[in-house]
Amino acid sequence: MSLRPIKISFDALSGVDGSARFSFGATCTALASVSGPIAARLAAEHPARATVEVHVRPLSLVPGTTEKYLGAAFKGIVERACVLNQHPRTLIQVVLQALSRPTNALIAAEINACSLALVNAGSVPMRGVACAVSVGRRRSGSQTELVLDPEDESELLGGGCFAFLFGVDELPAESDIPPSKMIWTNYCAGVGASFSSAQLAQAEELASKGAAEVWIKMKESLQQSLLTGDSKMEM
Amino acid sequence: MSSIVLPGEYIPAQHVNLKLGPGLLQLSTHQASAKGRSSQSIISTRAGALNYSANKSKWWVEGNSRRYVPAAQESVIGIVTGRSGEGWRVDIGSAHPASLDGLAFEGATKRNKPNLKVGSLLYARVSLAHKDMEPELECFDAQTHKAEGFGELKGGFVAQCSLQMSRLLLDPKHFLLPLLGSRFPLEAAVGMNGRIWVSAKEIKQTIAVVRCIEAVDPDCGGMDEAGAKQFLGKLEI
Repeated sequence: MSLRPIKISFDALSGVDGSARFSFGATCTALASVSGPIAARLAAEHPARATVEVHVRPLSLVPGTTEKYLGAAFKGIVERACVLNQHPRTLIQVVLQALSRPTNALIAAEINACSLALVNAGSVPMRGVACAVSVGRRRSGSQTELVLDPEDESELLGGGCFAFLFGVDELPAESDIPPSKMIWTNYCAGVGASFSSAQLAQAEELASKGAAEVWIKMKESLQQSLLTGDSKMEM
Repeated sequence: MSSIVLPGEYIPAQHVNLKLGPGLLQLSTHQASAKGRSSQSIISTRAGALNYSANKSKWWVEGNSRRYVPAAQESVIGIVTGRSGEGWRVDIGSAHPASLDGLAFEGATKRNKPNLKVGSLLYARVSLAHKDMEPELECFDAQTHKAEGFGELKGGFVAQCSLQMSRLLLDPKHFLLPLLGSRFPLEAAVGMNGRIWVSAKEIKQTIAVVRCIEAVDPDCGGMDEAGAKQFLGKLEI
């Protein structure tokens, strides 16, 4: 059970403070840009911490209610990942552009691109890096089995995207990778299906392994871009 | 000596007189104090190279970014955007505009204030940078109250670069400014806010300086000394 090949590049978009592109395989890509801390509108200013705004743009059509919902979900993830009280009355603006059709894997790619763009910007302190993968549920014989990062989501009986925050919270674990906590999911059963909490726990377990792989790839790409000045990395 | 760390990674920094530099945060945990442990977790808050001093008492993470966050005692290049009361409003590239008092110049009195216009360039020192207040600037040295190079910058051209590039240019051992200065006379002021003011006699020399800075910037390629010499040779100056 493994992820599709991950491609990460830091495109150095002009006019923003940080940007990154993340793909699962060849058909699931998202681009993120971050500006901040910048001046906030007076109505959006918070006296004790920075305000976070996430704008999600779909591949086609204008942003609608789904994008508004995703923007609110990602705002919660960014607020968990960043230390906001060091820059009161400022704005951290994140713009996500979907470069593929909407799937749960695209949501995971968007979360990963958003984390990488925040790290690339380097101006907002972060307490961890959010990594996400999608998990699908499909029929195999008479049972259902869980699949990590499914390519084709049309034949699944449900599934969802899991986001984990990788960061040391208390005392560190004995490993190279910081401990992770699940911070967001949109796991659901397909039409006419149902799932138990045990199955949800299994899905989370599988997703956490996938997210750890994503974290390792992120670290490798950042090491390469910081040490050599190269901005592209492919696995 | 330096390894790359990601935000949220554990930093094994322990010393009796530990000083944490930029990019590090000490977590306060209830669990740690309940178990009676005296050491609390230090994590990195940005991606970059982890460095420490020889006796491991000072630790910091060196990363690159483009957005300036004001810190006291740093020299910055500002653009005057307007008057506010007795002083001026100056844009230094931070989230909030900085304020510069009208008397914060060498030899300034109520009757004798410098004549700055909107759009004037300044080389100033950040005298106050607190997260809850807007930053304040001064155009003289803190101890001697003399100009010491601060004040209005006349003529010239301002180029933008990343913050790591401006730190590199301020290092006297870096190759770029001496290399350019050996070709033609050059005046430069480096602001820690990612802005560099250059002034040369001819326009093509100014353009050459700006293009070299962009080429050597670690954010846009990071050319080394040999590459820069070759690049300079191709430009017709």
